[in-house]
Amino acid sequence: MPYLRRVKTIVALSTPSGSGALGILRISGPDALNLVQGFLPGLVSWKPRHAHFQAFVVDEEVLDEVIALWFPGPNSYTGEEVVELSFHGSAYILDSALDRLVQAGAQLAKPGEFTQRAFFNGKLDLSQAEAVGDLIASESASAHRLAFRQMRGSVSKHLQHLRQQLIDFAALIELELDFVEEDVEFAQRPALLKLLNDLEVEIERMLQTFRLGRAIREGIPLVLAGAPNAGKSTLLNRFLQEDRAIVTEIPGTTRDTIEEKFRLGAHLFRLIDTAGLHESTDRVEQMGMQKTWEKVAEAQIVLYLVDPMQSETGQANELFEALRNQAPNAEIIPVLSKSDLWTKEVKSPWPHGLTMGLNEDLSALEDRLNEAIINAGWNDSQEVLIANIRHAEALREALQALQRAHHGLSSGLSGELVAYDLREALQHLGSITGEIVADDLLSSVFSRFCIGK
Amino acid sequence: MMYDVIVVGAGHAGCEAACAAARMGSTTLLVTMNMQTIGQMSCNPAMGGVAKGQIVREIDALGGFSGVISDQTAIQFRMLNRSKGPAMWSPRVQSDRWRFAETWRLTLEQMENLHFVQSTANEVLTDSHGVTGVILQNGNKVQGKAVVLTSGTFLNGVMHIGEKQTHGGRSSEGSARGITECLNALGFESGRMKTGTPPRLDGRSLDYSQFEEQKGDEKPGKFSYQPTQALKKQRSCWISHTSEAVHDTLRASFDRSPLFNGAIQSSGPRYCPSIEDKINRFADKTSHQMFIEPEGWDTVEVYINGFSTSLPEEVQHEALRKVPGFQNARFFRPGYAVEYDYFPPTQLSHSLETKIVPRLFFAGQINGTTGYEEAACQGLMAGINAHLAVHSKDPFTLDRSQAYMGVLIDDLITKGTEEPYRMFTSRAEFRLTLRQDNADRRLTALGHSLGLIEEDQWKRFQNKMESIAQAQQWLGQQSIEPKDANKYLEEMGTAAIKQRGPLAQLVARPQLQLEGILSNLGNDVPVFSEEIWEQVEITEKYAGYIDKELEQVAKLKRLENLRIPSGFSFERITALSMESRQKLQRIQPETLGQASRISGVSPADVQILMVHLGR
Repeated sequence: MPYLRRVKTIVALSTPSGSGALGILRISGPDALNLVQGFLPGLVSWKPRHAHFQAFVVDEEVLDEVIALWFPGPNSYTGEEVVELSFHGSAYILDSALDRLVQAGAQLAKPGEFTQRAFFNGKLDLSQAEAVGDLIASESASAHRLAFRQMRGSVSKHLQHLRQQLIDFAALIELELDFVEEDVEFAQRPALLKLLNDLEVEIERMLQTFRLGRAIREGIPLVLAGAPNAGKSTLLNRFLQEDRAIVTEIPGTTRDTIEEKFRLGAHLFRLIDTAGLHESTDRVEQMGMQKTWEKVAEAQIVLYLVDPMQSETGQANELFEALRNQAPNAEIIPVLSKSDLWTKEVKSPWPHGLTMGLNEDLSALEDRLNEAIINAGWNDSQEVLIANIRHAEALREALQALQRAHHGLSSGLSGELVAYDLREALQHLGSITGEIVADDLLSSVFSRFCIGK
Repeated sequence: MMYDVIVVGAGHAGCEAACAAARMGSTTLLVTMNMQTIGQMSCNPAMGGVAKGQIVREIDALGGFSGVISDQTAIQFRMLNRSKGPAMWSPRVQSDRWRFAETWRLTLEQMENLHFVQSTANEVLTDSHGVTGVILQNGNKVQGKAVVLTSGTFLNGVMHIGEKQTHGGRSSEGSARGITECLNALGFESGRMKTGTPPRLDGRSLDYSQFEEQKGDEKPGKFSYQPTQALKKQRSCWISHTSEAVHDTLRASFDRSPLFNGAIQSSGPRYCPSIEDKINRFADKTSHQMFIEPEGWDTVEVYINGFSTSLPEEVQHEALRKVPGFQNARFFRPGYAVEYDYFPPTQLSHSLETKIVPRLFFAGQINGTTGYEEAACQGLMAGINAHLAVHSKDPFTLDRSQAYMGVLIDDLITKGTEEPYRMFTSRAEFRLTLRQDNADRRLTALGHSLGLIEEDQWKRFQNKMESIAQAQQWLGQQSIEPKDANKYLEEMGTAAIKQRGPLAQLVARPQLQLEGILSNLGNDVPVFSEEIWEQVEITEKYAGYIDKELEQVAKLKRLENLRIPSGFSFERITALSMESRQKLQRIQPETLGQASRISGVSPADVQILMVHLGR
């Protein structure tokens, strides 16, 4: 076979490096079994998917006692011959074993190479393969669920459905082009515009889940904002349980934004502490505030800290409105801080606000955050979340093409040009799902209209 | 006698094939079952239509004869889809059935290198190097270096009318036996397809006052780029509709329909169903459209388009007489269904040569297509390539961005077809480029280098191209001031311009026509024919979209240029899904682009192939 490059056998440490109780080496490729066999003289007959307890022998000395597992191709993760060896988690043992396997002819796997092989061997489709990467990198329970669901094909399925809707729509336009002589009723323009609108809304909805999908993967952006010295940095340190931010009595101590991730229950947050917002002529402070506003715009949740001893209610309200304008889609939770310094009579001017001391237990605030996640409807049990940037890009392009088609349709552009944009939209969806368009369009026409002059 | 090329069958495919091979210089033999039925229109007396009209223009531009003969024998011309953009405009003619066939025969008789024999070919002769000839019905062996099979519906053809079955490929004609069995023995896979045709009636027995008239265009166009004449007078078609009463009568006898009682198993076209199929599949539709089409200038015979059926003759009569205007209808011939053998076209390469037997070519319905135009263009390509193969020259192929013909052949050999394949514009990715108006710009130079374009036609073409270039250049140099333009722009309901700008930019506006722009805003407009200005206008109007299509073409070409070595073993690439492995192995795509269009081959598969091809 001159055209086929010989497939190499690869090996890698599949557990995190450093010492743990166990360390697993994974070997994949046509020679996997042969390579490993040389080090397991005691193993006479391999049984697929069975644990074999064996001595791993190097230069006639036992390096370690291992559990060996054989997954014959194509019923393995990569679709190739795969052997997994569980060693004790010593760096010395693992390094020696890896070294010996490489000397015996295996190649060190490049990052992601196992998954790449699984993809090439048809074990995963592209969006599933991408999800595996996310699964490995997932930092919270919800990110894990999201990646797992995507790996099982939920995005592909939903996109298939969307694609079929788009095909059925495009077929209505094609009908007018190819079957002008036919005795079929062409769809009215208002009805077509409505269908198109529905499709746009659907894609927009999916795109919006990208914000959430990314939030789940990378952490929900939670911004601490407020006037200087309202206690933002104190709260940051409380959440992180360390002195991450410098806290002083001096207003405006935080001049730049600070970002840290922290986990709360099933959710991962990206906690962002910002420079205090107030009138200032100081260049550095102005730049810091500029950055604060940028972060507020990205936020899913804003914790708006107010020290009632220091702020006029009117001023506090103004700032609240300004925050809301800057982040219209975010939930803004006002927090009246430092309750130990003022009397109980002070009432929060915002009905959904929270009153708490910065040294108090955070559980009320945590409950409030969980509630915000549920209120926003972006809990991760949603069937489909777009978490992958490539999918989001394809959807965005598809949406733009649909918007052009929409504009064309309403301005009376000739059908073949509207159809051009619709096909482009289908192509962008196809870059995720991959299908042939023309046959599907015609099938849609024939199944719904009586064609046959 | 040793022929260069033997063409079996003299329908649309066979005539074009024989014509092309002979004109390119091959000594060619045309084998036909009946010298009287050369160029016969078996079904409706019409050429062209949406997508099909574009194909006829392409055939003409490349040097085939279907366009010329259609022009010479037309009785009505209509440009369909006029209300859409120019890419959708599709010429269609009603033809005089007899004159069409007669003109084909007389045209072929003029060909120096073309010989005729009336017989049926029953066997294809081969040796280890490929095809060597055919055996005729009388047992005579005819030697040929290449053979083009264009058997239409005749291979083991069986006609159905109700419970009655007769052997034959067309009303009152026989069938061709032996070829399928012979090819099967050589390793070819064959299948069965079905098509149908409506009854023919005595036009004098119809009440035309009950029909709606459908006239030809006021300014009739034509197919050919050659100086054929446009029609001066035309005949009309007529439109009527079936009713519930008609449907009830037909439905009452569905158990006697070969379509429903199991007599016919093979697949017919979804877009050209019989009337019983329409009633069955679209039960909520209470009425179907019918066209009454004259069969020629002088004959009283009419063709009932839309009423294809294989129900028993008396049921056809009874039902049809319930259609308004048909109360006293007299029948000439009943409608019927016909089943015939075809060879899944995935067994061909892009030149239409079979992969199994070198220099054996298939064209037309034998490849699972339907339609005169689809058949004719395959015949032309097969005839060209038979000649080239005999003379050891590289095959001539067209890609998907060059012609509908390229789309058709690529679809056939890449995807095969489960039902009779008809062309639609939606099959073409580049349909804004593949227009009927620019077929000559796309193909005539290629036809000329093949030797299919005569010198006088070549001169005309070059002059036309030069004029277009001049007109375009002139327009490109024109600019206009707001004070001169804005009054007209306002009248036409389009936005004013703010500063001096190119006149050509105004052409792109949907509210404006080039003609109006030139007569209202142009200075010293040079004199060019309407045809020239039309090209300039279309180019300007479509400019943005055509640029986008060209980008897509470039993308396609990148994959198209990645050739897959012949004999490449797809089965060895376990990375591919089982389905795509099998399909790729069977179809043996020539390029990565072709592989990507095989249904079941995913983008991921294409990436895998790319890796294996060392990219």
